[in-house]
Amino acid sequence: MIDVLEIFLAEKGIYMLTFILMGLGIFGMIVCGNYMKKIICMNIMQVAIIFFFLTLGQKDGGTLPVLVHNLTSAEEYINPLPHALMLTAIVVSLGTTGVALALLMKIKEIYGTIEEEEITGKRWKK
Amino acid sequence: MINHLPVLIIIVPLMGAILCPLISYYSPEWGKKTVIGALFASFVMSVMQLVNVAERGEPVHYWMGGWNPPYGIEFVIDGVNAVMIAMVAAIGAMTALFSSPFEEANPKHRFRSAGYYSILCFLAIGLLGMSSTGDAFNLYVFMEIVSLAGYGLIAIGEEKAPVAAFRYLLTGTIGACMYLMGVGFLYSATGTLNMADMAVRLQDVENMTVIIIAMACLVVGLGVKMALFPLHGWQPAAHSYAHHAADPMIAGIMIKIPAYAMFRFFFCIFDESLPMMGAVHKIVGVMAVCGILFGSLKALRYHKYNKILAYSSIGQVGYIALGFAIGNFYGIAGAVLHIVSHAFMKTGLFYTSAALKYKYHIEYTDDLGQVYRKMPVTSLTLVTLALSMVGLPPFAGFFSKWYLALGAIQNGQYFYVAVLVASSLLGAIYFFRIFEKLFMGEETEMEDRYPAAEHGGKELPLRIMIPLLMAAAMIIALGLGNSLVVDFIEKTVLEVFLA
Amino acid sequence: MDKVKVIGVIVIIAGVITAGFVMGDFLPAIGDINSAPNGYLSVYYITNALHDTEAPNMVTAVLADYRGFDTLFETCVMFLAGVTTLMVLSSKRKVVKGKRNEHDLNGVSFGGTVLDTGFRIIIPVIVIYAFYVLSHGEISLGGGFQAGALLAIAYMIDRLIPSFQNSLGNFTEEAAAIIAGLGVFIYAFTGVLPMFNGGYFLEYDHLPFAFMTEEIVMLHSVGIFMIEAGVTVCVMGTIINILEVVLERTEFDD
Repeated sequence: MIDVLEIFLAEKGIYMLTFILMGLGIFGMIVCGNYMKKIICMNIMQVAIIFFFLTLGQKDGGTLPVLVHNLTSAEEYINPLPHALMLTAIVVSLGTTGVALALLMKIKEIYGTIEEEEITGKRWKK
Repeated sequence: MINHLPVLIIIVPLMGAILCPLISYYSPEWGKKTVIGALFASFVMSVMQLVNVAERGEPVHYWMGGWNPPYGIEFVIDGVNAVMIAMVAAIGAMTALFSSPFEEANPKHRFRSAGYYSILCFLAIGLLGMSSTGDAFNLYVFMEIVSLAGYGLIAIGEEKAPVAAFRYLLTGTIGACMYLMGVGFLYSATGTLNMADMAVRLQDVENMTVIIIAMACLVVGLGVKMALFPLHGWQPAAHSYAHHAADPMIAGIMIKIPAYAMFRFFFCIFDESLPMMGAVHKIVGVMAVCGILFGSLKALRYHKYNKILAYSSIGQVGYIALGFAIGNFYGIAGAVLHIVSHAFMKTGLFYTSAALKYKYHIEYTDDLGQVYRKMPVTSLTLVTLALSMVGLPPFAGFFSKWYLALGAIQNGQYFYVAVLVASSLLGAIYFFRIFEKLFMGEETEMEDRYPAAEHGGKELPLRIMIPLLMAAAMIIALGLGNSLVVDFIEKTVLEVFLA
Repeated sequence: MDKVKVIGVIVIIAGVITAGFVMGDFLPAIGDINSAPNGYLSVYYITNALHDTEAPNMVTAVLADYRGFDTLFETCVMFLAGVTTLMVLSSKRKVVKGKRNEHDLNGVSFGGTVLDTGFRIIIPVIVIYAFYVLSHGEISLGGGFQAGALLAIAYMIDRLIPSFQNSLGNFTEEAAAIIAGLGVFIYAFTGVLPMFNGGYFLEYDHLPFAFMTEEIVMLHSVGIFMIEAGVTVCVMGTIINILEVVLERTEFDD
């Protein structure tokens, strides 16, 4: 039993952590009433996806994907593709967060608050 | 030149969009003209591409940077997405023209019209890219461009708009992340991002769990973007408070292209013989039926013109998803036809809404009384498009529903036919209520912001009237020429989607 | 409310772990050299990146060359975010333009004389480092985004410390957005150039600078440098744009 768990954690453990992070992000976005906290949860969710992709590109014993002269075989380097994709995803999430913060400033000016309950006038949960 | 058409359709508007701020710094008027001109050029090229694809009879491939497909990014233009691209480019150019009276040059904010046009152009670019690309991750980047442009255009609308935009931002980001997650699972199973290559390599994947998870993520992600029933929460507020002139484009095509992407994924990438495809079709079918009924019923409740249209969109997206659920030739042809025809219908109806706001600031249907005397062209367009939405024969809306019903009958799914009929009747109720107000209601006193007498007897500026009439003309043309469109896409649907 | 949150968190953690454990082998094991993502495309990129693109940094090779089209639109996302922020926040100004500079207290420093002088020394270093990162992007770690962010930070320090009196000049937010647009234009123009020379969009082999280099493959270095420069300009413009919009908008209490 312990062996099975150990192998599971070694092979899949980090995937589970990223999924938990993602689940917590979405859960937080639904539950939190404060718009600022919602943005923070949104960022947590995006970071979880980035971790997920990077985990896919991991190789045992691999080094940074920058060519070194005496290392030529493909097994020596980790997978560069997820890193390149995630650079794009990071920039996209940066842009989204920037726009979200701008909208939040505008909302604060119009309503004087960033609590969802006060803006929509509904208390959906005690 | 003809080889480069797929990328030029995107690059020409891109140049317009990024140079618009610079040109507007010197002359806002020319900044506008740059974007409108770029979008019209893009439209002309998309028509050329349509002809080219029809002549060649096989998909056109364009390799970015000259890298061959699995290594680089590839654009694939076949019969179906050539139609989509032409539709997006046409609506983009029309909307850019339509917006120009709404964004008159304002000496205090020279940048306002420049920013508006730049964002509008990016919305068109993103949608064009989403329909052309053959790479799953590239689709995500274009989807985010569409979303960001959408947030901006919604946020600069009416007073409640920032909250609507913010909520859309939160939901839309969840959708995009779920899509990316789905792509990540597919990548983990196949090691590639090119869609065609993915389809080939997925056949060797024995592990079904990862495919099921990927499918679930993709349905949720694209479902959020296309406002499929239980995931539609952001849509009514966003569509009713957005910037008046950009609203037609947001409501018309921003929710259609993700639907098209869903077709791509589920018919082109996933194999039809996968054991759980039937379950996916059933689930999407249930979502579609609920959406159709919910949207139609909810639209009955409102008196605000934009809200009625927004809820009716939820129902109409349901039709497209229904075509997906039917999944045979007629179903797919009907869904594609409905994507095109509903894009023109909803865009046209939002044009009328914006025109009513431009002239009289009418928001509620109660104020529509006797408006047809004062605004004959707008009312004519409204009636044409609304009849098409209800599904009366000479117009395009009838034929897409007809193909959907044919497909459902062929599969023996009579329940779907019943839903189609019921929802058409509900649609008739809410649109005839608008007609009643329009033709028989009491006239209300309203301030006329664009008196016809001062402008040579025209009810609205020409730049508004031309897109209005174009939308109505397109609906009639699509209705009369529906068999042409179906013939055009037939080969692609049979070979690519149902192979 | 708190109870709901705690229960939710526990349910999510437990649910994910059990689901993952029960479903078992649905993702490649972490670090597996032979898994699908580490095999197919990745091997091609690692073995051919230097030969194809002349860039020892494979991430840059993938980002700027093999998938350069993605990066173009990623740059567009930055520009779009800047313009959107400007549009959302510029409808009315809270702080009258120029007022900030007037009532900036010239004598008042940011954190004492030592810190101010320290920042004064650091700014040129940051700018030099930014150019190093930009030009070194394809060889080792670095690239356009980082360089743009560094340049913007130099401007930001200069803008935020009152006693510096904006010695680097004062952008308006419109000007910053225009600069960001020009950055994207440099990128897109680099892509369009090969099309006049018989190549595909962004195909650096067909850039019309063949007279400058001995081997065709060296043109990839030129192309990558040009697009990295475009990205730098765009990112710098966007960050300055957002900073200026926010500064015009907000009155700080202290």
